[in-house]
Parts: sequence; C-alpha cells; structure tokens
Amino acid sequence: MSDHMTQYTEGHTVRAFDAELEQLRTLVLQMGGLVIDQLQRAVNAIRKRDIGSAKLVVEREATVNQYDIDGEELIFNLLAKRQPMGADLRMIISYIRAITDLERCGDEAKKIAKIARRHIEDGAEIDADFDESTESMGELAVEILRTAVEALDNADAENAIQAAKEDARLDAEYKRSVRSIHDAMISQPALVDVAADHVVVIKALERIGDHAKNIAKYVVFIVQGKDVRHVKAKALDRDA
Amino acid sequence: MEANPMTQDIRPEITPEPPAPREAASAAMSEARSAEVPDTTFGVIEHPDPIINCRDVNVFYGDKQAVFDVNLDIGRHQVISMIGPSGCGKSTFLRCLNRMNDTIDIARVTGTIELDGQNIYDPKIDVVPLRARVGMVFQKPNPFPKSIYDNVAYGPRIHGLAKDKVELDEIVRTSLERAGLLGEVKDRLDQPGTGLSGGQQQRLCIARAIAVSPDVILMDEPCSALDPIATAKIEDLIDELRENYTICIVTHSMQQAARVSQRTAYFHLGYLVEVGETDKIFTNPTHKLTEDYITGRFG
Repeated sequence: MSDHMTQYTEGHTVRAFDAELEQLRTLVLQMGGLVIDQLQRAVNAIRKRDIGSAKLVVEREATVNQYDIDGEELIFNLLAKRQPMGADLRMIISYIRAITDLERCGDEAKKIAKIARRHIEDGAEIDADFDESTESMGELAVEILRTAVEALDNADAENAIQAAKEDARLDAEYKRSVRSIHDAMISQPALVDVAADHVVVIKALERIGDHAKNIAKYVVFIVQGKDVRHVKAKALDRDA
Repeated sequence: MEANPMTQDIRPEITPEPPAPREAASAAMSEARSAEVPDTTFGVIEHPDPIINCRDVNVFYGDKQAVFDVNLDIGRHQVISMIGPSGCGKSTFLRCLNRMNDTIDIARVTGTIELDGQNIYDPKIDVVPLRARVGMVFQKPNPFPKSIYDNVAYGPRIHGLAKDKVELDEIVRTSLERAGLLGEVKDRLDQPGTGLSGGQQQRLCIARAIAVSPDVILMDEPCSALDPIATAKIEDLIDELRENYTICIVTHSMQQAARVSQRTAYFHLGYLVEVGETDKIFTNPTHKLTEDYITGRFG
C-alpha cells in the first residue's frame, strides 16, 4: 500500500496538521537533496581538483545546519501542539533522527571538501590509486544516501532495506582501501601526507554510508513499526 | 491539494447504520489495512487475570443493533480505556457491565458477561448488589442534594455495610481519602455536596462509588465537564485507585486514554475493532481504523 510519504501527512481532520507534516516532509527532502549534492561535489572536488566545488561545499555547510535547526524547531512545535500518535508519531521521531544523520553527512562532506581545497591550494600530487578508491567509494556512498533519502520520501521499506544492505559493500571497500593505503605508505614514504588525508576522506565516506543506513532503517520503523536500528542489515527481512 | 485515492480510504463516511454483512475473512494483514470493520477483534482479547469476561455480547435498542459480538476480558486491578468515535458503542458496552442498560425499556443484551465467573445477566442476579460491586461514575458530576457526608454514607447505609455510626464515619473518611477529597472537605462534611466545585463533585461521586467497596468502577467520560487541573487530579486518582479496584473508562480524549490506562479497546460502528496494550495501540496499532482514529483522521 505504501508508495509515498504523503500518505502519512494527508487526511487529518485538522488540516493544519497535514500542512505542518507536509512542511516537515518537504524540509527533510530538501535537506536530503542538498546533502546528496554536497557529498557529490565534495567527491568531485577531491577527484577533479575542482576548487569551485570545494569552496561551495564549505560555504553551504551553514545552509545544512540551518535545515537542522529549522527541522528541530518544527518538530518541537508539532510535538507540543499536536500530541502525535501512531504512524504520525513514528514519522516525526524518525524524521528528527534523519535530520541528525543528514546533518552529520553534511559535516563529513565538508571535511572532504576542506581536504580537497587544501590539496588544490597546496598543489599536492594526485595519486591514481587513491583517486580510484575515492571515486568508487564516493559513487557508492552517493548511491546509498540517495536510495535511503528516496526510500524515506517514498515510504518504501523494501528499497530502504536494499540501501541498508549496500552499506556492507562500502564497509568492505573501506577496509580494502585502508590496507592498500597502508601498503603505499610503507613502499612510498613520500606519499605519507597525502595518504593520511586519504584515510580521512574514505573514513568520511564510510561514515556517510552508516548515516544513510540509519535513515534507511527509520523507513522500516515508519512503515512496519519495528525498531531495527540495531538489527544487522543482512538480517532485515524484506517483507517482515 | 490534489485528489488522492488514499484520502478517500482514510476518511470513510461514518453512518449510524452497521455495515452490510461482510465477505469471508480475507488474509489478516490486508484486512488490517482496510477501512472495513474486521470479522474478529485484532489484538489479544484475553487477560491472564480477568475479573470480567465478556463473550459474544450484542446490544439492541429495539430493532437497531448498537453492539456486535464483543469478546473481551477485563483484567483485574487494571485500567482499561474504551475509545472510538461517537456512536461506536463504547458507552453502550460499558453500561452492559453493570446492567445499566436494564433501565432502558427497549434495550436488549445477549451473550454472556461474567463477573468473577458469575453471569451477571443470570435472571437470579439482583442488580442492586451487582451495581455496588460494579459502580459507576458519570460524565457530569451528580451528587445527591444532601450533605457531603450523606452522599458518601448513602450506599453503605442502604447496603447495610456499617453496624454503627463509628463504622460509618470510618467508611466515609476512608472513601473521601481514597478519592483524594478528604483534605479539602474534612471541616465541612455537613455542607451540601452540590456546593463543591465541579472537580470536587466528581471526586465526591468517586468517593460515593468507593464507599460500597466495589470491585470495578465504570467511568463514562468522567473528566469531560472538568477543567485541566481537575482533570489531572482525577487522572492521578485513577492511577492510584487501580491498586484496589478495576477501572473501565470511556473517554473521548485519546491523550487521556494513553495517560491513564494499561489496555485500550477501540470500538467502531458497534464492533470492537482492536484491543491491546495502551503503549502499542497509541504507537503502532494493527488495524487501519484504529490508526486513522488515533492519528485524528476522523471522529
């Protein structure tokens, strides 16, 4: 039956409540869109030596934070005024958590962008291997985050579970990359500075995957009423 | 807002007529997601320590059926709340529990309601002692036009519960104390009960119900005529009373049901749609009708 989050926001006898929930849904969707773009641009800034993207990401961090503040205020007022219950309550509690996870994703993207900016300004050397792992992990992180945010807006538990499961791939790639960076540090001591930065970058991408997985799990909570935050992704049953 | 088929599902027309006979039961989950009243109640109707067992309870007013096949256990020393839109049968069902429907000529009740194993609709049952065991508090406080003392002493006197004045004084004092009213009225027990504030009058009515040592207290919208402070006092009192009594409360305030009860029963068009732990009903109900009601989508 579930095909969109609007089914959770519509149909209240008090139409002002519909409007407020819709405002919250829109805010989270916009925030999600911005954070996905922040992530994409941060990865590009590293890979393509794109100073414009790096600066934009750092600049727009304030906007991400503002969404965090506005979203929390909206939710405070909703809780105080409407005493939500049932699916409304699950939606609102999940959204406040999703906002926190998105805000953290924004922080990680900024971290990547700042490293990119410094590399570009310092004229640091590009290492092809590092670049490749950033690219593949970056693409995967963007994909997982986008799937999670879309699943949230579509109230789509099935795709949410897929996103949560994908995070395992990101984790595996992170571990593999850390090992190869470690080896590179030993064989090419000149690369140590860049390599250390690169560990920070891929760690940030790995963390973004975790936050996206959290968001995906909130979707399961909204739709199915089950708290799966501490259930391993591979144990999430598609139709349970 | 664009037309959305969900909107129509979410806001069914509420008609006073019961729905047409339903098709054979479909799969439980799809039934739970439909806006039709289910064939059987969702949730667990049984209770491990029931004081009242209701089975196949139907209530008719003349030709019109108001309550359909209700099966429900009421747990001892628990507060159970009955919620649902106006006309859903929750008050009618509540009034079955001490045969208050007997006072309505055209009302007819079928099925069995057992209080500690005894069918209260057995023709041999005398309703006067029954109503002492299953007391009632109404929407509007209705003290007798007598003194505060005599309001509380009335029941013990007619049921012969006190052998002398000393014992009667003690019953009155204890009952007022348990109803959380003693401190406010102890110096004016001879004053008329009708002179108290609304909230105090309601607590006087609760003291009057308690005075005959009931097992169960039925409350039909006990706070709807009270201000928020008086309401809070009654709610606090309900929580305290469940140590000694079983309480069934009908309320239009979902927040009140959520605050005071351990179990909640949701009625719709005369059917008991769902019953469960209050925490579950208000955070993750199973049936769509329950969900729609508690999230304020009709009613």
